[in-house]
Amino acid sequence: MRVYVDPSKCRGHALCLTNAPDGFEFITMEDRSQVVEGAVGTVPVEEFLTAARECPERAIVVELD
Amino acid sequence: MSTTEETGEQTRDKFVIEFDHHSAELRDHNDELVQRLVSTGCPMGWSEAHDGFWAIWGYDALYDAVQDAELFSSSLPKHAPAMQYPSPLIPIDIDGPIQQEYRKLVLNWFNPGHAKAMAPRINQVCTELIDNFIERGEADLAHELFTALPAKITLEMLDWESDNWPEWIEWIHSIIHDSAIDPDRSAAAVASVYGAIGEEINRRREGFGQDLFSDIMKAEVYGETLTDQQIIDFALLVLLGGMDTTAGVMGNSLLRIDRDPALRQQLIDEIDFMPKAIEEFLRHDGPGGSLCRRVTRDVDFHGQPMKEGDRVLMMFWLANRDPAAFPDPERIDIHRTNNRHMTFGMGPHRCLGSHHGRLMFATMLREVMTRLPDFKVQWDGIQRFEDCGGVYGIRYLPATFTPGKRSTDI
Repeated sequence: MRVYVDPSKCRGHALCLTNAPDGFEFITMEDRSQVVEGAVGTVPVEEFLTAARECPERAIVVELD
Repeated sequence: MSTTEETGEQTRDKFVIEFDHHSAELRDHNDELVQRLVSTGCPMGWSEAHDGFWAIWGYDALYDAVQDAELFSSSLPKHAPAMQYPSPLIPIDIDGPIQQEYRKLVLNWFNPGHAKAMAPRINQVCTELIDNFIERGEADLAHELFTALPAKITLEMLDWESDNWPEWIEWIHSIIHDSAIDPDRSAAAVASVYGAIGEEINRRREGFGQDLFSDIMKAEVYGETLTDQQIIDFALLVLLGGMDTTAGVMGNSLLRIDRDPALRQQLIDEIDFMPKAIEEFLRHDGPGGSLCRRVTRDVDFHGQPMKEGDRVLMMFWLANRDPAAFPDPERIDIHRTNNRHMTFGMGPHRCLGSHHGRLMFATMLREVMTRLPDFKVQWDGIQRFEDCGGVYGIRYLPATFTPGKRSTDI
């Protein structure tokens, strides 16, 4: 599985930090989220899928194997 | 459809609507207005009000519009009618790369971590405000709670005297709610705010602090500090964005809860779910707003003939009720999934205060549902702003409830 935040689409709504608190972190000075290193495989897949579904900018990509 | 004689090309007629966001219809018959526009099946329309403007309310059309900042400019003039401040607010009325540079100046303040760090202070202010009326068993929840809290917190972030919030809020309300119906009064409020911010600039020149306003004053963009007018334009946007909008959604939500006993009970039972539950109120009962753009070239957009210079009202709050994007949109379901509401806008101008707004709203709603869960709205005393086109909000919201104890006595 691969999960990433498209930096050209993310506008810093940060809802992913609520939907998958251990899956995403915020880069303050770039006003955007990114996937926490090592989170894929430890954070439940359903949390990543929820984060992707609820991202207003549709910036989160989840590629299932 | 009509045919242009010179070219033989077909041009579409505008889909003309009877609509004015500054009208009594929007204020008093909001849900009916939603149905009237949504049921047209059109994502947008042209109104002849205020010398003509486009309104976009379809979710997909609005999503496309907000992502194309070159076609849909944020620079003035774009409001219908014009707001009474002569100078563009920073960064909401700015286009291009420099707009992002302006945002960077304040990202240390407007980020999720900063909002989280403010949670104890927001809790404290909320507790104190409720303490002031909880023993009485009745209160104007507008003035005594949801208008006061965001205003005080905003002033604290700027490190301006927060006890002066009633004076600031009167000016901010006038700038937002009088611009279309009493322009002279609104312009006078702008002049008063310009003067008051100017005084804060002079005071701060005697010594900077660890606050948002000091950071705005010290900041450099492309190697230059902001002019006094730019500092005013930045600070005024902080006030406009911070003070009235969060109050609006809180008031609207309380009215909704008052009319829906099952929803009230659900919120009480699932009080810890509040940080997620608020997303549904943000979707369905947001503060609306007069967020606008200006078309930069002639274009056929979602089937409608837009012309360079046309003003566009971005109806994010109405897109939130689009059945194509939100199944059964009129149902309030705090467990709704795929809730990609547009209440904070999208794209490069996404609301900078969204993290703080969410936290203040969730805190106030949690405390109301905890400390005065049986509140009853006194509907005879409800007073919305006469013009709700800028922010769909409530000036007076009297309520009664079973008296409780001050937190210090608990």
